[in-house]
Amino acid sequence: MRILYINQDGSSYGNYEQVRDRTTVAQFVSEKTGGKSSDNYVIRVNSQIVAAEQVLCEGDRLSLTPKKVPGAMSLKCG
Amino acid sequence: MVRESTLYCDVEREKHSGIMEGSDLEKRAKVWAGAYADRLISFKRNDASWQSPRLKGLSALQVLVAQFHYEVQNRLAVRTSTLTAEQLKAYKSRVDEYWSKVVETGTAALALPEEKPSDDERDKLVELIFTELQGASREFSEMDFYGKSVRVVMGPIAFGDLQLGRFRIALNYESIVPGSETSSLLAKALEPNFAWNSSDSISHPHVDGGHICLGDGSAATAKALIDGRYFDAMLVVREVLRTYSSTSPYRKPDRWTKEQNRRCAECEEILPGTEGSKCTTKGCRRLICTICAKTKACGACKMFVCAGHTICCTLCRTRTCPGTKCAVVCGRLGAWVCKVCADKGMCCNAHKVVVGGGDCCSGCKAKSVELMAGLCAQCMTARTLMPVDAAATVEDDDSDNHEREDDDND
Repeated sequence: MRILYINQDGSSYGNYEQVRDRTTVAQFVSEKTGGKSSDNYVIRVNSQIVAAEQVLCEGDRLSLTPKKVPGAMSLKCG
Repeated sequence: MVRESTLYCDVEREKHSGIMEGSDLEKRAKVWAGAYADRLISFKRNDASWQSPRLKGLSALQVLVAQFHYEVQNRLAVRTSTLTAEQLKAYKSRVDEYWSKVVETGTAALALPEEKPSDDERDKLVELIFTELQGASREFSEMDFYGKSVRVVMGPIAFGDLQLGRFRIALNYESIVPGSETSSLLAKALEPNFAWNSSDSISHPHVDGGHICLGDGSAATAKALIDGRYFDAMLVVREVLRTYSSTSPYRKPDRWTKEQNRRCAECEEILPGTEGSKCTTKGCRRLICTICAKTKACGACKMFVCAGHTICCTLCRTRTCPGTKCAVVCGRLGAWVCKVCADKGMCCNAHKVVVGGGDCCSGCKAKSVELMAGLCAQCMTARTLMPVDAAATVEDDDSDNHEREDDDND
């Protein structure tokens, strides 16, 4: 099945991704982030914040926002 | 005039039945919105003064957006059943205005500045924005509309012992302009704890005057705003505000209060109470702790001068103050030499004139405030740059002239 995956880490990008049936959010996140825990992200499916155990469905829109976003890392504040 | 109270009461009743809290919210809201559209049309028939050409054209989705506005407005502000038709009309105009902006935002998002998006694209965008706002209203403790902004309130922020309180994130949907999207976002402290001496401007290490320095979150926020993913943008802002980046904040948390800013200029230790003495240089207000005042005092006069006003002897590297009794400038080297080394004859003999030793430059005779070895900056630079051999030649030439004069006298 196909879902829309939006990663808000770094420069942000969105892609359609093929996922296996019965794939959970945690499995998908781990796969996409190189083994990182889903606890490090605010995960939303179809605009709602969901638990890591939720199973993805066809046409879902999943967005991933890291929980630690350093302000003024690449842009200088003062 | 037909009052809206009946309609409003229905809305209230349905709202309190838990429609915004249920798990099947979206489904129920759509059903509700459909019913609400019928009520609007019915209401329009009863009140000729409330005519909107757009009303007939409202799709279910548009009604859904409008209904969402009502819901937010009802939840947070108006808790009365006496809303008049005029007030409703005023609010409707705001909804219409917002709708126009949604279309404009959609046009920008779809990169079609000259063309209007198709109904299908527009409806998709509106649905997206609606669900985004709906999600945001669940995630954040408070949410409302103010002017042209959607505002949410996030939980209290603390960095160690520094309590910064809650912040309100405001997204001005009118100012989402490609290229400067993030300027549409502002953060306001609700229980402000401003950094000391920041003119009540810095309420967070990365917020100055309400403007958020998004740093690594800039790109993601801009993209989310352009796409109409307002909730995503707000989430990134929230995480930026929750994270402290020590790279380049407006103000470091450990320098937030006046007490924290009373630090020794040398060792950075906090100076408790009234402890600390000032640098002895006139006009300098830097504080030093007792230990540094003793260990880093001038090698000659033992008075303390802060690092910014300290000089270092070119020859023995002793730290001294630039006082006339403690150091001189070697005229030929153009460098500082402590008085001890100078008295030992370790430098050239051109240091007879010390700092501030004369009002007029001995080279060009011009009046100058700052003199080094009796020379103004220009003359000193010219002299420093002059090759030693050339300088010696000039001196030799001078001595030849004197000899010649002497000869003539003879």
